[in-house]
Amino acid sequence: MSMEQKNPRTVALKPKTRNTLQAYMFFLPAAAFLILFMIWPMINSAFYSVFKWNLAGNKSFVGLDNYKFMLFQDSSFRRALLNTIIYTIFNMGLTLVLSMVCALLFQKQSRMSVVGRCLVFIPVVVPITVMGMVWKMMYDPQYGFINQVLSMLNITGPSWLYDSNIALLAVTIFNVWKEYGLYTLILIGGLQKIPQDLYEVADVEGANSWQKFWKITLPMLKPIMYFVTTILLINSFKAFDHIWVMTGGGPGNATTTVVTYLYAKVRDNVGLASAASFFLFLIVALFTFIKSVIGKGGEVDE
Amino acid sequence: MNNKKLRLLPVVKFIIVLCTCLFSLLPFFIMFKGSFESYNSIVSLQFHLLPKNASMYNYFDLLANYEFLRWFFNSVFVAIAAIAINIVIDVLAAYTLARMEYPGKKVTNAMVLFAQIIPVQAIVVPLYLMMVKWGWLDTYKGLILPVAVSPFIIFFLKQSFMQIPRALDEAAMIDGCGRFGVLTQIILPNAKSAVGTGAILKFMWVWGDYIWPSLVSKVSSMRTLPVGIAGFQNASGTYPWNLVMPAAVLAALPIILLFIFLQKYFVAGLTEGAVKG
Repeated sequence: MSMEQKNPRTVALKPKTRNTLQAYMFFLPAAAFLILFMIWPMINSAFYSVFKWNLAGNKSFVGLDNYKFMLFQDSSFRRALLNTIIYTIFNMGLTLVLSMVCALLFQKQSRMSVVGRCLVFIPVVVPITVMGMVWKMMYDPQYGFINQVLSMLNITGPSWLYDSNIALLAVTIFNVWKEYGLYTLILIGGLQKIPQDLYEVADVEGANSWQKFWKITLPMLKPIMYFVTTILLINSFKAFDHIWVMTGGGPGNATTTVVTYLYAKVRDNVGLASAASFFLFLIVALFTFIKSVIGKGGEVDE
Repeated sequence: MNNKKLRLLPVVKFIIVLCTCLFSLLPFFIMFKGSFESYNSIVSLQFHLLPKNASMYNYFDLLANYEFLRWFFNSVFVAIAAIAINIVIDVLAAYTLARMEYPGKKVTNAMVLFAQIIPVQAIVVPLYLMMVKWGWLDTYKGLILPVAVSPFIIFFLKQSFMQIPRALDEAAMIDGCGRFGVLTQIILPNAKSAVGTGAILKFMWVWGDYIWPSLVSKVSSMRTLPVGIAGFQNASGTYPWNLVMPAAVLAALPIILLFIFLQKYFVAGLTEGAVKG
């Protein structure tokens, strides 16, 4: 305050104006970075998507042709979309079941569950591409750990990443391994909020664990299940890193997803890559919108 | 019958717990084991659970004859720089949104919320073109600046700043603190763990990031660890597992150690921000 009295220019500004200027100054760096490196590129991807353009050649306006080509003519994009949907369904289903089982196992406070929670969380924190390489080795048809164990049981394992019918499932299983610990912890958070007296009442009425799970746990967990499901949906649609390092989208187009499709096109067909980018943005925005609507519904439910 | 079931249940439970833990840890064991074996032992068709002729040779080979140390340095440098810039920018922005009133506040709020929806994967194409145009490929600024702000961390910090009682700010201002003084003397000391969580999350994201550094770095010396490791390939198309495995161990170890010591920050940040911002 004493500083201000010595400086006549500061005194001249009304406190309110001064406050506003200060707020703008504080927010300015964030605004600059958000606009320059996120919002402007986002607008650009919509803009570039209406041009036919490769990095070497020139740009020509083609309207919605890129979208039309992508959705109706390009079989590799349709395969990418189909793969993404299949990946999403399997990833969601397997992750939900596995993390639910683990959440139920580890929900009680005991030394075993503290250690368990910690262990299932380790895959979540390590770099996905690095572990993707490790799994790639484990998936090798001959010397890979998985098929060697199977052959000891007298089972001939599939070629995993080299088999176009299995590869998508193989990268999905890897992703389930990588992320299920996170959803386990989110679900434990939900389980711990369920009032214990509901279970006590059920005990008095003689309900068994199975009935308690279906009649109390699951219904009470509904809001958090919606939350987890939409997050899984969004993250599955963005799948890229592990798929790219494990299969590069192959064999053929067997594991091409929306993101591997656009990534592979960055250097030779900017227009098409941008159209796929904007398409991805629209889908993610839609799911996020659904999530926020459901989120509000969930709060009302509570 | 019922009694017998009751006695069996903890055993069954224990076995399931053991299986899930094994499932989570086995790939790490295989990575670790492979890092001590020669290429020929790794690809040997004979099953072996423990390494054959274990030695540290792979590690010496990796450090002496490849650019691994450079990649490691790049990863550390990019992560630390990104965290430092993020903390300054995100804290200032979060403080503005949490505590100050000004015309256009709705616009700034909406900007942060909108940026949170944008998936990185959907902006890498135009961002890459921007880097080409600016000549930022293969530079540290190209690796760092595009990840120097996080709308999610802004949002996360704003939430935690809002929980600090406003009376503390007012008391400090009566004592002669300016806006900036309130931030450094009241808000930050009271939100240490939220800022720590933000820093840890950022470290984890940048340390593991692949899509962006793989586009910006074309020359080998500008790669970060994930890009370098994923790029290991022999001319014949096979993978030099004897180099990939020790490199993977050294890339995973720092983050695992951080996790062991700072568990609660990881868990708090990740469960709340399951969608990466």
